[in-house]
Amino acid sequence: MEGFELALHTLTHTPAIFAAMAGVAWGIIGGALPGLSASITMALLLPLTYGMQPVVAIILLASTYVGAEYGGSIPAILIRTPGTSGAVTTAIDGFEMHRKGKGGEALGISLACGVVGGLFGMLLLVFMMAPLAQMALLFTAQAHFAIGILGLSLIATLSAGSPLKGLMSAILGLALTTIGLDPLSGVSRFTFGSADLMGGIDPVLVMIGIFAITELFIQASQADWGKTASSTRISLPSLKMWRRIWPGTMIGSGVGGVEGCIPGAGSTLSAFLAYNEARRWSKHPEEFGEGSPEAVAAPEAANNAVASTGLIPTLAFGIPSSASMAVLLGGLILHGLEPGPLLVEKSRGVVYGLFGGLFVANISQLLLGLVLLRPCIWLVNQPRGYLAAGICALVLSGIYAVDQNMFDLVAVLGAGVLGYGLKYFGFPALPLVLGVVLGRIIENNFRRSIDLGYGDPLVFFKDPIAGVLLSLIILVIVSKVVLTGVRYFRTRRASTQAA
Amino acid sequence: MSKDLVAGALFLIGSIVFYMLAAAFPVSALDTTVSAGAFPKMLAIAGGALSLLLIGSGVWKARAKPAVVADMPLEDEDEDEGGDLDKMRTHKRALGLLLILSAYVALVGSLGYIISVFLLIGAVAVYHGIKPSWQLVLLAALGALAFWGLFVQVLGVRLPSGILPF
Repeated sequence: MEGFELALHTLTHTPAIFAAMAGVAWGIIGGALPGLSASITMALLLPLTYGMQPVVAIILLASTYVGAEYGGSIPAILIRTPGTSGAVTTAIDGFEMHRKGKGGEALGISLACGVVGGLFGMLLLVFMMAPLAQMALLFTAQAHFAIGILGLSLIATLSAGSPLKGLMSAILGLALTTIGLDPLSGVSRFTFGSADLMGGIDPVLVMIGIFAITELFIQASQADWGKTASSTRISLPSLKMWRRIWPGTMIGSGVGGVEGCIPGAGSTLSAFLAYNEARRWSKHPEEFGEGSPEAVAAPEAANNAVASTGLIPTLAFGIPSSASMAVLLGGLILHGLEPGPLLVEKSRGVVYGLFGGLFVANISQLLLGLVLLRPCIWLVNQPRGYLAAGICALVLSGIYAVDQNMFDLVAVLGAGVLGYGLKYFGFPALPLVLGVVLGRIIENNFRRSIDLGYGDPLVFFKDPIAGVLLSLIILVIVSKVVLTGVRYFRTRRASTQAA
Repeated sequence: MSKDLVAGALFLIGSIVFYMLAAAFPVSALDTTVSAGAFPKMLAIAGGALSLLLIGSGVWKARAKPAVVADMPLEDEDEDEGGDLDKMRTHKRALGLLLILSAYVALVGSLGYIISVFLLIGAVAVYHGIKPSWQLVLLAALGALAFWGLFVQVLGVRLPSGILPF
């Protein structure tokens, strides 16, 4: 009840409703543009949230994610190019429906099922956060340190590619956070006498550099995407259509709801799983791949459910489930909110206000999705060059707006170059970003723990929760290394036998 | 030379340099059981160890490759390879965009925000294949004014005026 009152207070006493709707609108537009992912769309807003109240800023970012997951289905259906990674499976059947003249119907299914999935995810979020918050009281400095390292390890080993490179990327991110004045002893670390480096590297610069600037560099050599007719009109599902698609919608909502809680999984994996499960349980599995409405309903419900349940590990443990959640995590820290087990205890107003804002975001997505379709189609039909120019201007202006410091512009370009280099050598960027976001918290808790243990490094294993978490870390890393090694040797043996 | 070898070597050198710099931090009177250099040193050691593993992995893969028949298409066993980023054209295009953005950063202080953003929008659009035309000039001008309006008027941010009076 107290939570409901806090949510209502936030909605009525702050511009939270406006922020939720603005976030959804921006997310739909950003998600609809194939050059922007949900995380980039969110990252572009970060500099603009500096002057906002924390709860309003977080609602804006989370609502952007909600909108982007629907927005990504627009180009997926109309031009077979997913705007976000969560719409990859929607591009298969959605585009087939569009080819058969049912594009409006596909968009309507995507929108309506996305809203259902989002609301279902929200229910899970609200009911699971409270018991997890009770655990917060048991967490010591050692446990805080261990959970930060666990989060990094999970993301590093579960991200695409080599777990070894993921861990190295995470270490690089942690290393970047040691630049600047040490907050505990006042020692100047890795500043080389530069006044600009005394304050350290702002995580926002790294996030925007790695996500947005790097992507701009990569897309500079890519051809323009396809265009579509602007006459498509969205039509929401009829009762008859709902009878057909509700099982897929429920399956997608369930899959997305569970997947969202798993670090590293994200909306892409949940969309694929939802698609497969919906086909398994469908009365018309043969239609999947040929324009089945259920094949649109399930993944769209899933990726919107993820937008809500992804907040569970992010808020409760400081472990983001995806790149978008890592951006949200960065936003929390930017506004002085420490994610983790104590967040609900210390910032109840923000957490429950966020729930209220997400509820508004999911409901308003229905209206905004209808209204913004035409502008989104218009934008998708514009040449890529205009989009790239607009993003460049927005990024550089937004970064400068934070501190009016030229050094920030240099830093964000440097982060973009770093991200490009990581991509070239096959290192995942998400662990680095997470390392930058969590680095200070991890180091502070590490040093606090060692001080509490009077210099004894075994202090981490003397705390039961920390001991369990650290053992989990070793288990995760070892199992991933073993699995990767087994897969590698099997591939080698297969290619040798084929030879 | 494989990318893993190069990446591992660079990371190892970086880790060594990082450790040496951390070891040279001055001792502070406010230091407790853990000094300011402890965490960076830990990271450097972990980074060095992992980079040695990566170098070893690179050497292993380089030595194992001849086992595959020459005329068989090589599978991309290392799924981390850069894909499109292996093409020189991609690098050149990325470098070109970096130069444009760097030029903006270099000029915004002296030319001012509106003119710099106008030039930035025009340059990036042309770089991406938009033909120079009066329409592009108009769009770039409107875009610059729109961004100026958003950041200066709406958000109240002070941006460099440069050679213009506002």
